[in-house]
Amino acid sequence: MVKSPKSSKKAAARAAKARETAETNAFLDSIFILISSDGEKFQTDGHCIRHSKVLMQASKSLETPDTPIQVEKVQGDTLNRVLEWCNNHRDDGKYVSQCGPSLRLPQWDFRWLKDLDNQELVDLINASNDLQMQQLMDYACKTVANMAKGKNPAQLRELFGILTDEEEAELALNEPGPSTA
Amino acid sequence: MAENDGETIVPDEQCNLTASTPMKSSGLEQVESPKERKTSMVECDDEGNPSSGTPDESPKQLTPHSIPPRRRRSPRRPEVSASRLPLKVLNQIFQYLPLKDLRSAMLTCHSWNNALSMEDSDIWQYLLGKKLPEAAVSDPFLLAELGSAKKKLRAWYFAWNTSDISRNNYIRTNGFTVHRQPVAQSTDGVRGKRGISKGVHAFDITWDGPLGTVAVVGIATKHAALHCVGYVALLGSDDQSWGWNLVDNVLMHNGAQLGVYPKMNNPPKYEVGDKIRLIIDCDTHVAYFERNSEFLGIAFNHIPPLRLYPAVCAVYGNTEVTMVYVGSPQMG
Repeated sequence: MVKSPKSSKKAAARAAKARETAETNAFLDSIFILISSDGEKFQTDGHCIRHSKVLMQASKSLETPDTPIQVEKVQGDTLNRVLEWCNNHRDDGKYVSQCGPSLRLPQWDFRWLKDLDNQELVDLINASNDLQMQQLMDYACKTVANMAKGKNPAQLRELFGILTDEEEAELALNEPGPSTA
Repeated sequence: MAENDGETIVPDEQCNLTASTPMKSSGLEQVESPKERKTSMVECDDEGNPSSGTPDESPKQLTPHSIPPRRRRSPRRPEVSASRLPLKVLNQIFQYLPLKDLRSAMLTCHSWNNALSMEDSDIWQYLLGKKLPEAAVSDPFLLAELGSAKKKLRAWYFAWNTSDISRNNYIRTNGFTVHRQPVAQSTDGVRGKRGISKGVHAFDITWDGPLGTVAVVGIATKHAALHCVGYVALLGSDDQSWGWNLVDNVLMHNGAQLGVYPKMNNPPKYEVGDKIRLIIDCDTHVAYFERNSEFLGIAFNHIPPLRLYPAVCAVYGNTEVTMVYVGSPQMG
């Protein structure tokens, strides 16, 4: 008699936890359709999109389970790479971001990010910023920092495609209308 | 007829764009001009960019008249636009870079410079925590006048030099205070880590503890001696240093007394703990002091254009002198 309220509470908690676990597992195995800004379609599942806060939010507010998720800011090529990265990290545990230069890249990420060209890397960083993917953002920014180490300003401009003020002014002369810079 | 009119208008605009293009009054000659420009365009294609299929016409118009090295490449809007990354992303990239590379990044473009100009951002906070001793960071008074993490980090790079110091002095764990040990018949000095040779720079110097018979603040070159036997106003005793002895308010350089400073009857004695600001103006070759924010007049002029270090020399046992670099002083 004395223990019955506790046991009922425990049972309720256990049931709630079981329900939550079932929901999580169902989510992870769900299939989602993503549409990039240029109209490309991608099929993925919960293991992949859990790395992105934006996609997680979008998946929870779908009208029907079959509704595609519109990714307005990311192009198809970049979204394809994002999903490739997510797929490789589908079994990762929860990521905790650590501050400062002590971050060390895992081997696969190091090689994968190194093989991207600069345009692809910058696009990937912008995509991870828009989709709020902290782990990919940390790894990609670390890669850019590694590229920038030991370079003087002229080398940095050449590496990242940054124009000097004189070049910007010269371009502005030739471009029609006001410069978009 | 309409086509001909169109052709004649374009060359005029191009002539206006580039002053070096010779003006031609004859109509027939104007007809010839486009052909010449086309020829030069072809040459530019060969020299500058053979792989490009359809170069824009307008950049090519400027190319023949610009500086020869620039003919090989017309500036194009680059595909990689790292200069336009969001501020949050730039901050994240820069937090992985050491200080030397941050300097290169600041000089690369405006948006990177803007990101790094926020002096209390995480980048500077992290470096501050890493470089400065804990005793300095946790002291509420030592760096109180410096308003940002970046300025505190900069002060660290100008602090007393642990490897350019008399053997009877040592730098306390906060890195900014020199302590003279009680050694008899010895004058002991210390120099700052970084010398200056351009611009206007201010150093806040505070003397804690008794002055003794000699307590000199001033500037020194790399070659000025920092130790000698006896109790001597070492700073200012030769042509490598300039000093102000707080004990008798006398200025010294090259072994000669330059008079009392401040230049007034019975100038007040230095009160232990008063803040003295040493200001070195390398561009006009003068140095002067302020005491508790009060300007005391020019101390030294006609200083030679050498690399100069802040310096002090002391004779009293267990006396301590703190020096904090504050950058360019407020001109008032």
